[in-house]
Amino acid sequence: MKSKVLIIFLSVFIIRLVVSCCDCGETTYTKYTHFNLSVKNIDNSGEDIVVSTDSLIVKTAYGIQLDILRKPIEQESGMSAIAFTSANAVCCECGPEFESTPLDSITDVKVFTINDFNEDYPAGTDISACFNVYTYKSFSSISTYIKNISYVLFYDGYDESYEHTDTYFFRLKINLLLMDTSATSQHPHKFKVQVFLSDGRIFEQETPEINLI
Amino acid sequence: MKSLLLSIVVCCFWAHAFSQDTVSNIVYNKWHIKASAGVNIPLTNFLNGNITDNLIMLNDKPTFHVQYFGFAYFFTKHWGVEADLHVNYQTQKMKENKQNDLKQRIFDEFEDNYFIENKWFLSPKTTSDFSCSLGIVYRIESGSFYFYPKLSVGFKSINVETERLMLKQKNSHNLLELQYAIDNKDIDDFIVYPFSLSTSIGYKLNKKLRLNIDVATSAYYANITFNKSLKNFVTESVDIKQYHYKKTICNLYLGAGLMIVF
Repeated sequence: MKSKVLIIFLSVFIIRLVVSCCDCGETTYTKYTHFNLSVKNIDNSGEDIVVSTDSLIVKTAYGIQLDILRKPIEQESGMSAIAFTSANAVCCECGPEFESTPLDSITDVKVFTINDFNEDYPAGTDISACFNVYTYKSFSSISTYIKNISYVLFYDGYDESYEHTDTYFFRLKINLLLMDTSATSQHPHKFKVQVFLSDGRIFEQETPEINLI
Repeated sequence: MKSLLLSIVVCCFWAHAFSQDTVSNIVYNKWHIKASAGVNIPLTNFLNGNITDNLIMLNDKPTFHVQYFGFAYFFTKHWGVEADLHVNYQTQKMKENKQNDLKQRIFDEFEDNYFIENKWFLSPKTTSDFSCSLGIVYRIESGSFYFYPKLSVGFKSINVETERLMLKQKNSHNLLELQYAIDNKDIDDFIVYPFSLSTSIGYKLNKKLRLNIDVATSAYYANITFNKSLKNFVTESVDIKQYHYKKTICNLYLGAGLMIVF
């Protein structure tokens, strides 16, 4: 009787052991760099933010989308392979297939108005304070957003949220929403966006011209 | 209405029923178990016409699907204690009606200026609330009939829902979160403490089995407050409007079933 009980207990243990020994692949470690910026006008007058090619946007719903490309530049496959393998032998939670850390980071984002925005912001002035960064259910100042950017990327194969392509490009999309509704509607507006990186590089792009009504 | 009529008829002929039997034949059993089903009739209105009525799973109309279980122990010839459990089923139809009314009222208020998120918390699933009570019961019996008046206190759970959804203002960056909840908490029910006066009357089918009718009135004081909060994610401001439910609620329960004694 005792041996039967022992066998039952052992079988449960063995089954759990077999199931827990997962076939986890090695994590591939990469590094990436920020290497390109493009900017677009966005329209938030509808239910969701959309990139707009229209020449007119309601000023209370205008924004700029920064599309920053990131490119992996180094691959250190299996750097901690032994540690991962032994860890995964008793646990079915495999590590990520890829882990990518940055060589450089964003230190600042500035927006300048190319034309007169209003009386307070003539052409050429820094208008960054008039924009907030929108992430899910959250509006924050540009400086607060930059402090909280999560740079380490974990992903398994194709991950739509990072929209990386077959050549391992990543995108960081930042939606800057215009919170100051006092823009003049007498002439079209155009904005220059500068992204400052920790290695000293500066990306600079201009938005398409837009009439804010 | 038929149940009420039947109860009145039984009460009217009660004296005749008792006069026909000799007291000496009566066997006083110590343990009684009973089960019945019936109708719960609200005698006062709980709901007040506000939008938050739709988040309280009660109707001010009779509820027909009520199950009742009772368990009594008589420690003397006449006196005993009885514990009861009432299960009050809310129909899916009622919840659907409440959900539709809630949606309509939210659409009426916000549809012109806002896009309304199409994810509703309130789901039209059938639920139930329950009440338990413990009381003291007095026994009056004849050879064929019996009459057990009872006084009891207990607690009753009332199902409530929370509704929370996002509103995106048209032509604007404004994003709001609309929430209706008790004290801003996502709770499933609240508890009230009913005081109940009831009686079991019935006919003895044989030594063990009895045909039983329950008539019970109960009263409880409800004091809850729903908050309607509108949180603006841009300004981080929160506007709160309160809906109070401070009332004494009275109910009448009429049910019929079987009782086993031993």
